Amino acid sequence: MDTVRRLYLYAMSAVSLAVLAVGAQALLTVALHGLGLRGVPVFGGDPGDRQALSLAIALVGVGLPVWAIHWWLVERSVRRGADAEAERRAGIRAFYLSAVLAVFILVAAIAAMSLVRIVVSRLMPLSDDYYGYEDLAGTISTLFVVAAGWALHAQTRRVDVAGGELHGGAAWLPRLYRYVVTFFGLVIFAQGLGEIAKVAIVYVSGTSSPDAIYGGGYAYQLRQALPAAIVGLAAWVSHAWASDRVAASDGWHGASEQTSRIRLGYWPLVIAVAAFASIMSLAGGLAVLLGQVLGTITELSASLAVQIAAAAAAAVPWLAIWWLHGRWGRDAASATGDPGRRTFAARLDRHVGAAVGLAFGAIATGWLVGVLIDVVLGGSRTVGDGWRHELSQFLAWAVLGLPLWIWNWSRLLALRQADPAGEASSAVRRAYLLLAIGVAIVSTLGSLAIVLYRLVGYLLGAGLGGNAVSELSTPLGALIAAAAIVVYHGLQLRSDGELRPAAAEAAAPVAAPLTAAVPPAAMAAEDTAARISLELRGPTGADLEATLAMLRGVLPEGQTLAEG
Amino acid sequence: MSNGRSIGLIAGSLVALVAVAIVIVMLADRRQPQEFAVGSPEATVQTYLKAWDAGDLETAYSSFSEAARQRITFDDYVATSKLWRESRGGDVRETVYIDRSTIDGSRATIYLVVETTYGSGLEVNTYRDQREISLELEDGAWRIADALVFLDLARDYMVYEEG
Repeated sequence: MDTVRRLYLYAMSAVSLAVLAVGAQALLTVALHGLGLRGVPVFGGDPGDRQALSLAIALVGVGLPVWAIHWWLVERSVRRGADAEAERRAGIRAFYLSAVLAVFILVAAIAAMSLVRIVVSRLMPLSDDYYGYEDLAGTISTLFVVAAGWALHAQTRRVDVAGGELHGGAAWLPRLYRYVVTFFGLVIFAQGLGEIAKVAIVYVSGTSSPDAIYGGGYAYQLRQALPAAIVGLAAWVSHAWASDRVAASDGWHGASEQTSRIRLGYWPLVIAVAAFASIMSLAGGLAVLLGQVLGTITELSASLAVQIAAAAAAAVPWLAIWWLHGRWGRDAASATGDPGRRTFAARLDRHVGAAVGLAFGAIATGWLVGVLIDVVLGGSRTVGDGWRHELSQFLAWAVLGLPLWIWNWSRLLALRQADPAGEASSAVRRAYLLLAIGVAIVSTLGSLAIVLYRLVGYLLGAGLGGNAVSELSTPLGALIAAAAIVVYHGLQLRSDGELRPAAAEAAAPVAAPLTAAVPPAAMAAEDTAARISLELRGPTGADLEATLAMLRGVLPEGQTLAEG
Repeated sequence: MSNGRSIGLIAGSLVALVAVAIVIVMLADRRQPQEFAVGSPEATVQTYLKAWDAGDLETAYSSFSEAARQRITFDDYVATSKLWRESRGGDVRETVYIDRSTIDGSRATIYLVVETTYGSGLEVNTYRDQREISLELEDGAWRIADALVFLDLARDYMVYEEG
């Protein structure tokens, strides 16, 4: 099938499937309303259901035949005919299936959260309840229709995979879908669980008003957090389980999954996000504590212990995810029995931790240096109490971020000392150093612009007004912190670069025979033989090949001449 | 399952669903509105809504508590109701469901779900909203604590004479 025809068939299938799904959902909703799921009205007629039914029948009447014909044509081309194999392996097909699965799972997640909210609101009714009027029938219908659509397309993909090896987009696009859903499921679950833990702490403490920690009551907060935790958990566990099952399977799919870059990239991404969220939550509690010490918070809406405990409780799911994923990654690397992979996993784990710690530490340091400049040069930023709130916040970031960076970086420095060439040639280390330098440079752009603005304004006599010291102290602080990062990491990068050519040369004799498929025994004999390098020269047009052949003819037994 | 058979199964299921939905909607239309025990807070709200819908403002006004009626005279209530109907515009239909109710001594609260439908044909729009009505027990009968125009507070629509 040519690409244009393939695009047409999948585009038509997508559009008609959307029309069909909307129609089927409306149809089921009307039926459930009729069965009394919405309740019996005490007032007013209900002509809306007949109108909705008419529209639903029209949508199904239009969508069903168009989708059925186009999908039948698509599936026939994959299962029969000379081009069947090419169709099964087509990237467009994988993209279509992944996109449909993603849209269906997204709608299903929203509907499932709505369903949980409805159930919770029935168990814990509230006055002025924003979610109280969510339509149960509509939610159930949506869930049913998208679940059916998802199952149909997931089964189609399973048949494609069972048909034989897939490459390129046909292999990685559906995998990307799986890991994206796994990632967002995990994030939503952890966020929801953190909120539940927070509510539980406030509830157990007996704080009279749950507004002490945030707006709304216990029931309202649970109604927000519980659906996220339940639906996120379901999405995360189901898709992570599917990925692990694929990775553990025999055949091409398992092998492809194990060596996949998406699978490899998922792990540090989760560790980075978990580390970031953990520090954010813990910093919230620490900022309250520092606020008390610095006298910035004079009136607490709940006791200090409750506020700190609530922040710590919200961090617990993220800390658990951080620790668990770190452990799973290292265990998986150890299970391969390959020391190289073990080193790689440890290196990746440490660098991700260092990057997150550095981000928090650098931002906080930049702000603190800025305030110091302001105080020393007589600025006005420390007039009033507002800056103390910021001080407690940034101090909390520094207190948590810098030790995290130092802890990971000191171990990485020890690794580098133990194996300078190995660490210098590590792509993970290079990526970390370049990322630190790149982000630091990008973050200075705004600060530089402010400094230049004031400078040019002063030179042109623009009379910009304001307190120049106060306006410049923050960007200057940021510039100093960024410059320190760029210089330090730049020096590390340069030092690595000096070590790298030597490392590459040392690796060359091993790499070349491997690519030439020379037997290991021959490699060993070759490496222990005595040798000298010669260069054969001659005038223009000389037959050097003939000379070489002549020389080979007079060599003693056991000696050879090889071209370099 | 073959490609053709699975598509046929989906088509068959949808056709069956269409038939079932038509039958259910036809049967549901014959259902009578929910009835409540005489003297209950729900019955008071239902009586008020029926009177309001029929344009029987005297009965609607008599559903309010003594305190509520002292805050707005019947003539003002009639004028306010007229203003409310004019401001509402045409082609709007409401269906009201009782979600739940709470009774605390001589006070009760009815939580309603109001389904409002605008327009017609392909331009039809429906949204659901929640309202609550407070009632007071007066001389053994439940009365609505605040004067209402439909389910809105009458005082929000009252016309005050200048001076």
